[in-house]
Amino acid sequence: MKNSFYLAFQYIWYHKIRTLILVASITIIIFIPNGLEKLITESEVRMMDRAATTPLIVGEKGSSTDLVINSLYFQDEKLEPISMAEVNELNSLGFGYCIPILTGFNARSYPIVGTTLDYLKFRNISFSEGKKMASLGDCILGYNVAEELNLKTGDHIISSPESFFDFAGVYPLKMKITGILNPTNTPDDRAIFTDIKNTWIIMGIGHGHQDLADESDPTLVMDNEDGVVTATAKVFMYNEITDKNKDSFHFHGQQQDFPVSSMLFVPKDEKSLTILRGRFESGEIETQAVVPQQVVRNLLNSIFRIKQIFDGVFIAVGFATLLIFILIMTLTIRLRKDEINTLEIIGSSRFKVAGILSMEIAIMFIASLAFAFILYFVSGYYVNTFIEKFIL
Amino acid sequence: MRGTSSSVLFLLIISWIIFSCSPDKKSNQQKEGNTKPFVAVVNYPLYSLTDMIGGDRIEVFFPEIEGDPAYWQPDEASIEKFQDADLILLNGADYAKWTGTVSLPASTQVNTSKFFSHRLIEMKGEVHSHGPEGEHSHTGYAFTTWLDMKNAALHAEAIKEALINLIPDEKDFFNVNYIKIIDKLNKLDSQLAEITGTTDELELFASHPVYQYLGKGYDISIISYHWEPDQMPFDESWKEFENELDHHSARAMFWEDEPLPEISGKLESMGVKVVVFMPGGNRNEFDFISLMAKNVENLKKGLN
Repeated sequence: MKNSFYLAFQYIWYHKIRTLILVASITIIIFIPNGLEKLITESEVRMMDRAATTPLIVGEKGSSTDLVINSLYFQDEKLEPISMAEVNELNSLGFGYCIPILTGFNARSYPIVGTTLDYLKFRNISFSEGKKMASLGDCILGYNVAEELNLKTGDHIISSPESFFDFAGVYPLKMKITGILNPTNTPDDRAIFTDIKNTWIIMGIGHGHQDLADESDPTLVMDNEDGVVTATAKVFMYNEITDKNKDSFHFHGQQQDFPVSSMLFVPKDEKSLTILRGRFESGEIETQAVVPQQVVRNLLNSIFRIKQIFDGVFIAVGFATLLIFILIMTLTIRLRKDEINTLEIIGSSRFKVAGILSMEIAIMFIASLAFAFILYFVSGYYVNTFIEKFIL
Repeated sequence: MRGTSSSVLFLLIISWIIFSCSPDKKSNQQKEGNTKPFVAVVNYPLYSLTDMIGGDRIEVFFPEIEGDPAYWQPDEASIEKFQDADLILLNGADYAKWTGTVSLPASTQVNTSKFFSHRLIEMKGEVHSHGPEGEHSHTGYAFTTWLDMKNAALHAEAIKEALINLIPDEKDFFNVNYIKIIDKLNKLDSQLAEITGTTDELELFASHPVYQYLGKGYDISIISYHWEPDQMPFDESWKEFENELDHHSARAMFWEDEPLPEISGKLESMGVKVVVFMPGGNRNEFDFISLMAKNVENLKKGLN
């Protein structure tokens, strides 16, 4: 056995390139289906976790998948907004409370999530440094945002202008970072949270500008008659909210008309949730309510169907690889006819020769399994990062 | 010897039990001390009504404010207190504009004027125009809503409802206290209606534009100025006032506080009585009901 192993090892070591190609092929064939299985299983757990902890999402009628993806994972799906009036209406029913979410804006390619402080409480997120946002112009960063952009409490981040909700001209807003959240291994790590009122300011619904009554520059006012002050375009609009200018910030229109992408509904109890869902299903409430768990389950089922196709492909490719391997081994035995004869002449039995050849195959399979295991282990270490970056 | 060892061992066990238990007891006591729900309010009428309804079942927080709480700007410590409150009672009607510029959890906020939101009095702001959205004005509401006792009763109802949602087990306690308050407010409402109902088309001056709801609730036509009780108005203002006197039947003026004797003297020389009707938005020596009772008494005297 020891001798057979020695001869087999010396042979495959001598034919390094051929061995390497065979081992690499077998490694890949073993690794890919298992790695994919791990990725999908892990993604499923993570996605279902997030969905399971969110009882109900309410938004404008349309794609339920887009609604869930936008509300849970802050993906840049285009959602028709609902209004704050609908949030207030749902709150007034007494079945629980709503957490409004307004997305669609970014800062340095990270999503800005306009919401209320209830969101942090609902998701049970704590701070690694700093504290909650206190005033207009404040924001808090998810753990990864702070790490990747090397930002800390007291620094600023500027929103990127977008055209999606461009009702009245979108101004970049310089926001002060008041806190950094602890890592949660969820999309919250890659988001910038701010009060929903800030998001309305980014949208241009609210703004701050020079006080037209107090300014000494006459070119700021075009006309002033009976209390109707018409300003010129020269009026300076603030892009940062400070203690000095925060009183000048104001919103145009009624807050109940302001847009919201969606809302998370947190029911008082199971009974309240059931009654509320009944009202949505009967059409009494015009917006759409979805149970994220059901939507994510459907989404995952689609992914599983695709995985089944992949599994079939991998079985076919694996079978083809096996055939090629057998062919290579058969041809190798033919090429090694003289070597085998020599072994027999010097007294080696046929059984011993077969043992040496089997040992060669076993070494290559064991090496492939080892490499596949290492790859599986290493990829497992990065699977969370991969899921966060490319799936969630 | 064996007996001494047993005693020592016994004492050690007892000491261990006592010491291992006492910190827990202390922390439980501390917890019990902190289990009272923390209710934050934005003005004194709400503080007073909440305190009367909630009694010792809650802890009510109303910050120490210099000046009018409607225009107060909170510091970070106060914002944090409001953020951590179990319940935030807002006045509504754009009162305490600061609540619109800070981040507060929406789930703990209750607008106590929600039952009469359709009756709020709109105030048109300055119209101006700039940027791409063209001409617009920032409208708001008159906010001393509690000066109409019917509104005050509805504030109390909203407070009671919010407290019951917060501590359902104390429903009966809150209801009993609420009914007591409502009885008193109804009485004050009847008194005000009686006092103001004696004159057809009652007109009164007001040193400040804060009596809109009192006017609307009790059919008083109010002509408002911007006079401060501790500052003598300019001669020009007096001249304007004298002119107005000729055009109105009003012969009494509401003041938020006792005006300077010179002001009272001058008004009285013109035949205008001073009626101190304190809105009481900020902390004062009276509870809300007592303050309003005092105001009603002052009005009665002023109109007689």
